Amino acid sequence: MVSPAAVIAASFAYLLLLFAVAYVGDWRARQGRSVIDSAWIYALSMAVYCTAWTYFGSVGRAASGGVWFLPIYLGPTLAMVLGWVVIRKMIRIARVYRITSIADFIASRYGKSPLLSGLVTLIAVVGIVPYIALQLKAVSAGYTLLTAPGSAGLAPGRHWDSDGAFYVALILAGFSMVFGARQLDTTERHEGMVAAIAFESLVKLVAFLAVGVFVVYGLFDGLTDLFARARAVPALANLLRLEQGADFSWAQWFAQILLSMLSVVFLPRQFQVMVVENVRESHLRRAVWVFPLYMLVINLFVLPIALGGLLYFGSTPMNAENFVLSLPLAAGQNALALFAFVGGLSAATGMVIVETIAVSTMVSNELVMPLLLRTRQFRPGAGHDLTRVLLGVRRTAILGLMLLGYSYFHLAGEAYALVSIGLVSFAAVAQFAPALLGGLYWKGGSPTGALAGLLAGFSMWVYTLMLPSIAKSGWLGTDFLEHGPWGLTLLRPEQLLGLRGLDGLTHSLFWSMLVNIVAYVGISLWRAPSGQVASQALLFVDVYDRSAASSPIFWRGQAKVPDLLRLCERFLGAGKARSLFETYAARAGAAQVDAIRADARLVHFVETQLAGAVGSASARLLVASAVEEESLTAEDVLRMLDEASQLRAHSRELEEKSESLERATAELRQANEQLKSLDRLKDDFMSSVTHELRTPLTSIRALAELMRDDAQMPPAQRRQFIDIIVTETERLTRLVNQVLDMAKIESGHAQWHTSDVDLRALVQQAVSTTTELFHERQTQVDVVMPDQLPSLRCDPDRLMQVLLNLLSNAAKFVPVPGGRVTVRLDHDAAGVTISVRDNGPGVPREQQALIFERFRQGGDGANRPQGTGLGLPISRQIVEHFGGRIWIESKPRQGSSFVFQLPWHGLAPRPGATQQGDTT
Amino acid sequence: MGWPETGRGADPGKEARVFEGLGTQRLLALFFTGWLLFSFPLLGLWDRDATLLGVPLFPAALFILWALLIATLAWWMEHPDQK
Repeated sequence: MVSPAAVIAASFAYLLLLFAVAYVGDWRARQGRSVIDSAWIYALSMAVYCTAWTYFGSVGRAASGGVWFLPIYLGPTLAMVLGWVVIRKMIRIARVYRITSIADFIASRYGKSPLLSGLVTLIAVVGIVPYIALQLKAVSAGYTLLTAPGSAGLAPGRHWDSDGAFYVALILAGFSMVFGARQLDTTERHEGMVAAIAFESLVKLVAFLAVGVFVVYGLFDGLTDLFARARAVPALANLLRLEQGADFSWAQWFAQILLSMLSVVFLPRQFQVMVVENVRESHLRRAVWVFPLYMLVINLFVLPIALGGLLYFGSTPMNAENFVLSLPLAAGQNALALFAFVGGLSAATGMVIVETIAVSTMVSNELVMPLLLRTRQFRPGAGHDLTRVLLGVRRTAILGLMLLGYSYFHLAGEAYALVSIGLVSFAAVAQFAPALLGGLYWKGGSPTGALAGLLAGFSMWVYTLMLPSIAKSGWLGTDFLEHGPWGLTLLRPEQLLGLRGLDGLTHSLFWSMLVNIVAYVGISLWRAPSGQVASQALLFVDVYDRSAASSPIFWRGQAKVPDLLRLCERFLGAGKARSLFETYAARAGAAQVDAIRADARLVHFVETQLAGAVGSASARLLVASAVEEESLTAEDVLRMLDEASQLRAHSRELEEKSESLERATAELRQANEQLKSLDRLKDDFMSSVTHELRTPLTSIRALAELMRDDAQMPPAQRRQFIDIIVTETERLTRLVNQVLDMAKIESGHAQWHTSDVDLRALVQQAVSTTTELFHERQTQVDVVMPDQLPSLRCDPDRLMQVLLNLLSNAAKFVPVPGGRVTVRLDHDAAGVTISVRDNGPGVPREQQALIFERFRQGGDGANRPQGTGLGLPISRQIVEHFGGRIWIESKPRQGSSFVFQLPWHGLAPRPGATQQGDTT
Repeated sequence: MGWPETGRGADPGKEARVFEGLGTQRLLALFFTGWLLFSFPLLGLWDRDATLLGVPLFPAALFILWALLIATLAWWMEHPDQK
């Protein structure tokens, strides 16, 4: 046992710590350095889903039903799988239209109907009360157990003033007010609260895991030992199986998964942390798997603790829901028990704080405000500053909710297990699903349909689930349960129309969802919606298509800036309203507030800002009262939508055009660069060609002039001169031919005569053609080639040209005497390799790449050999035309080897090249 | 174009956008896989009197399936570009 003072001191110390965390969170938010701007914090704040139900109730459920504690975590996991699709859309809508609660969301979607938002709020309040009672029950039971272990379980005091639960309720209410209703924010975001909730999620996880590890490894000898001992007891072995000795109720399993799947999104507190408090859409990406992982980890030890408790206490009757506390206590681990209690407190306070803040916002915005605005004192035209009133309403709502929770705890809580109470709440909020999900994806859903669906579903829930639970607690006669009202057995709440075979929850879920969906869809299809409703439907369903700039604004009428400003001052405070208008003026390009044009955009702006403070339904009422509006018909809506989408289409068109312009500019610039470099090449080429032409021309002209001027020139000398002139002319001819040849090949106008070529014969012929040349240079020529070689398809004349080029090159560079040239012909699977090797001076490495360029001859200027400098470039063009490549292998003073390779099937026809086969 | 360019015509596939993209289709597939694995009759297949490393097969299988589901989701969410 732990002394009450210690428990109370620890609890308060923990709550103060929580408050410190929240304070730091708010303080950092004001400085613009948000602590909650993190996907991890966001995911942890979602874990507010795990309440005292998880912490205490799951163990109790596992102790009686084995794996039955799990469906309410599997459902949310499945829901989160689709979170990136569905929840992201909700976040986007909530951000764009400043939605502050789930009631606001549904009402906004269906034409901002105050009636609908009021109904949703009512359902949320009634539905959530049992859930709050559950937390109170868990905390007060924990406290009782910790301070007086003898009184197993819970025994609420006879008097309210001796009842722990009552004080717990008051303290938690005070705490929620401090957290969530200190100031008014137009976005309804509470950074400090979210930070505190994330912190709480960590505390409850660590505390629960600590107890789990203690039970498994402290009380037992590890998991294997624990499970082995449990399997030895038949009653416990059953808990580890699906069937558990009876038929497994798949319907109930399915119902609980479905129920929890909907609840994890539609419970007011889940909507608050997931949608309203979301800082960045991208955080959802990580949160959708971290949150399920959190649930998996916190559930790891549920079954071991349950089995451990059952084994440890044996026949002593103990409430399994308190094993988390009673096991450490029984083992004398008081500190651990206290820590476990703080963890449970953490789970309960987290839920209560967020839930009451979310629901109180709904109560003040959707229930109280619309009513207040109808009274004379608060009439929209009156000059009251309503910010204080709003805060007062919220605080009262928080207190009221806690007291309602406390009443339910007294009324029905004692008879029920934690899990059953929680499921009652789940079934209530599941009623939001058809209207909300339908509203997200179906444009046809209408306000009357939503209203009818919600009313029908909620009534069915009250009749088939809520009333029976109250009756079974002894506050109503159970007569109508057994025999039906007025003795009509067909109307028995738990076997409606004689439907049997389902447990109470599944039965209620089935009927309520059935009537809900049928009413929603049926009545929506009955009549076409009005213009305003249709406009909201479009805005919601197509939210991803709307950017702020092109979003259509469905409003027409006359407004005055001072009226709107006064309206904002009343609900947001004078300073805030002024600064909002100044921001708007700056954005709209107006010099000052008075210069703002009171157009539809301004009215829309004011309405969204007000919606943040008082909810969209009230904001609609307020704005309507401050301006003169004309009502919209469906045609108006369509026309406005057309205007907006035309605007959007135009801006998209412009965007596309400027993009393609940019692309074209880049392409042009690139083409220009290419042209410039080609131009430079052409200049180089021209100057090289003219230089090459001038040298022989100069000598021809000089010799011819000499012969003309000197009539007495001896015939021998004259003959020598004429020989030189002929040689030079031949050189000129060759040069011009090669230039022409080069130009033809490059431009693709060369003629190619392809045929099957016997390479052995071709090489032999090339060598014999050049025999005389080599003979003059006293050079020995060796030919190495295989005995047999398949023929190759190419142009024999061109190939001969290449060979002659290489051979005459070699002849130019061999030393005299002692020259040696080797021609080698090889082949493999890929193709044919021909090399011409000489023992000349070799080509320096830096020149090897250049000699295949035009007019780049080997050797320096002084001992440049005779030649045009076009031989190798032409050879390269020819080889590459046949899909091959040519290169040089050389080391200085060790000779050089020109090699080219031709593939068997490498003919790469080039555009424009004239291809003629077998024309020889 | 024979018809005026209205909002609907100018923006094709507006409706389909919600469910477009391989990412969304994968998530839908994963959702239905999870739904199948956790319900009748596939879940019943694990209900045997056996143990896995000392842990009874049925609870172990439930937690392992659950973990696999989360791991797949995490992989797809954290590597959105591998389409």
